Amino acid sequence: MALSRPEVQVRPRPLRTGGPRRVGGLKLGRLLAFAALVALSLMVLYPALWMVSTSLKPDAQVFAYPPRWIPDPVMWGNYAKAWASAPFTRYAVNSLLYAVSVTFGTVLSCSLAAYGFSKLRFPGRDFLFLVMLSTMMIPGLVTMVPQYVLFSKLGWINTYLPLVVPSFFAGAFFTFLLRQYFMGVPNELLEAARMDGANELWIWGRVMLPLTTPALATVAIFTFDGAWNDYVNPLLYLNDERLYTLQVGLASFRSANDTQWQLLMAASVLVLLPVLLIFFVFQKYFIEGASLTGSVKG
Amino acid sequence: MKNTLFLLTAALLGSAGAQKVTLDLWAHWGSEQRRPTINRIIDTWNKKNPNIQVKYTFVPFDQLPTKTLAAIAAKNPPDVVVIDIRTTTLRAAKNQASNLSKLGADKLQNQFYPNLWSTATYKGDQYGLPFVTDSRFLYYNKDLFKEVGLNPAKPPTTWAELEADAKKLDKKTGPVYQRIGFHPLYGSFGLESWVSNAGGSMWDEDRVNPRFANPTAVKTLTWIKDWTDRLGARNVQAFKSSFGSGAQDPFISGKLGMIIDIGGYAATLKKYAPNLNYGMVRIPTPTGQPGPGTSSGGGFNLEVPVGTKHPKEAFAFARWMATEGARIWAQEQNDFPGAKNASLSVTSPAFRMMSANMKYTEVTPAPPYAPSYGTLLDKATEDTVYRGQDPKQALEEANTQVQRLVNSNK
Repeated sequence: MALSRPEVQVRPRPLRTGGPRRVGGLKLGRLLAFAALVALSLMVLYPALWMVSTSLKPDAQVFAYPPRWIPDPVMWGNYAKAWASAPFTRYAVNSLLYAVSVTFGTVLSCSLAAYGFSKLRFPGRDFLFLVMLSTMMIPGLVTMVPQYVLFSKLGWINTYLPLVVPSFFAGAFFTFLLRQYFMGVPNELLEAARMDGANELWIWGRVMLPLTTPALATVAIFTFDGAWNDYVNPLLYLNDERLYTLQVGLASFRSANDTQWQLLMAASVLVLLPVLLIFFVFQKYFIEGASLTGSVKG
Repeated sequence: MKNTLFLLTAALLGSAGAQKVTLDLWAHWGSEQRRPTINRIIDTWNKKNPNIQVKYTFVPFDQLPTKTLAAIAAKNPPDVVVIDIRTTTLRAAKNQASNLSKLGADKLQNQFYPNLWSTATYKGDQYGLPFVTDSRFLYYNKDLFKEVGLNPAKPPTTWAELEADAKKLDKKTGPVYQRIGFHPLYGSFGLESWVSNAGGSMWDEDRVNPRFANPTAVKTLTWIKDWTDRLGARNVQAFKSSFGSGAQDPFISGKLGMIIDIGGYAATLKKYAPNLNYGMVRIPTPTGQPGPGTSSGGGFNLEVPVGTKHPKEAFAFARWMATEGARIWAQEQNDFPGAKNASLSVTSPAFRMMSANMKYTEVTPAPPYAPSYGTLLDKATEDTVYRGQDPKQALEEANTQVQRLVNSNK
């Protein structure tokens, strides 16, 4: 999905700079560039197209060779069947609650921590920052079992607490990302607010955050996407099927020796839609934030 | 059987003072094809045993061992779990699976196929009950046999015949293969399975220390290498990558003339390729004569994790599940049960073949001190077959590495 970005960035250009008045050579060059881009995006889209195609196939055409791109008949019923084969509506509500609360927690805590690391001076700040960064070196798999035992001792197993609460304690990667961005905000702006008697929390909320929305949007989208697609953590901590999320639900189409491909693909398309939607709505911020060029000037 | 179960249940009810307990059962059946059957099994038990209610939770197949391990470590495990048959002894050794012999499992031994029962035996005690298994067969496309002038009623029985038939089935346009008759590493039968098929083993007698470079193993790997060289290592790999992900089936699409897969593959073929004209036979061996390792199998055992609060009730349920539950499962699903009676209650041709093939099927437990040896062995296999390393040398190197692993974990 992130790979459809080139298309998004390139499209407006001919409207602005190109046009019929240009000399033929340039036009041809642009045409070739477009052809290459279309070919590349088709390559990138291939798995997604295959997913949609398979999701509409009857049993006997899933493995047909040569492959058929347009199924006959088109089995729209696969979608209803897939959705009904497990309590997917419930899973969707769970996934949404999980992703939204984790996103809120991450943006809140990481921006607070990043503000501290970038704009406040206190003894040991850089050392603490280094310690925080070093936690990125420890792979999640290593801490999985001890973390599970810890949450189990707190009595949090089979609740959403182990999944959501950690997001309120500023993860290293996004804190780092926001800190770099925050450092680009001129100190003069903050000084001015301080002169007017604002406390740091007020400055964080009223000065820093409004100036850095692209970065915050980036963090939000990445976090939402991560939580929405998270498979291992919900699976590890939730024991009640009523608490399961969509990703865990998708796994129900796979078994030890057989996979119901058309249903798995149909459900995957449905699970993918919200993320696609969010990307299209926020893509402007997303791209600005990802390129880290939006520092404040003047 | 039903009587003893009834008595057993009655005894349990009596001793438990009619106190109601709820057992957690974890397994990987979540699809709309599997779930109705497991629900029916649980309902049947729950109706008969009002004081031992079972609650079923679906846990995805690939994460079930991780989740179970975490739950055991946190002392909050399920009471019964359906889990990989090859690793029961590892959990027994690490005190993660309960010793069922103490609960009276030993007297059940003759109700199960011996090759499966032994997968859960550790130092003379039993740590699991076999639930379902599988056995591998050679599937061959009868129409393609006819097309190239082979007799569809005479499938290969020896390695030589297998290779001769495969050669005839190969189809090439220019430098590119349109069809490959057979390749030993396509399908779900690896080097280790072929070595067992040839009557050898990759381990010493206790399955503790690797013996990768033994003569049978070297001979088998050389055979696979020669086969690959004939087709061209690049062709073999390129061909495999065209169906590697599983979303394409090379046997259904006619890209392969023969393939080795489990007995349940017959059901997949029935569903996805109802018109395919195929045969299903015992896997060829070097001599044509079957032995205990001709085919290989896997499957699932029922275990009672260490830390359950109701071991007796859990065992009572596991025992019923492995016998009566397995009967229901076998009748409605295509999995072959580990309990003999349950397997005989289904009379389909595929089941009869599976039943007859059990004594030629090896279900090998993972070696206790190097459960992850597979990646090293795979590397040796691929280095030899695709990258031209000497078979003996590659196996010796892998042997050294695995031996080091064994020594450090002992």
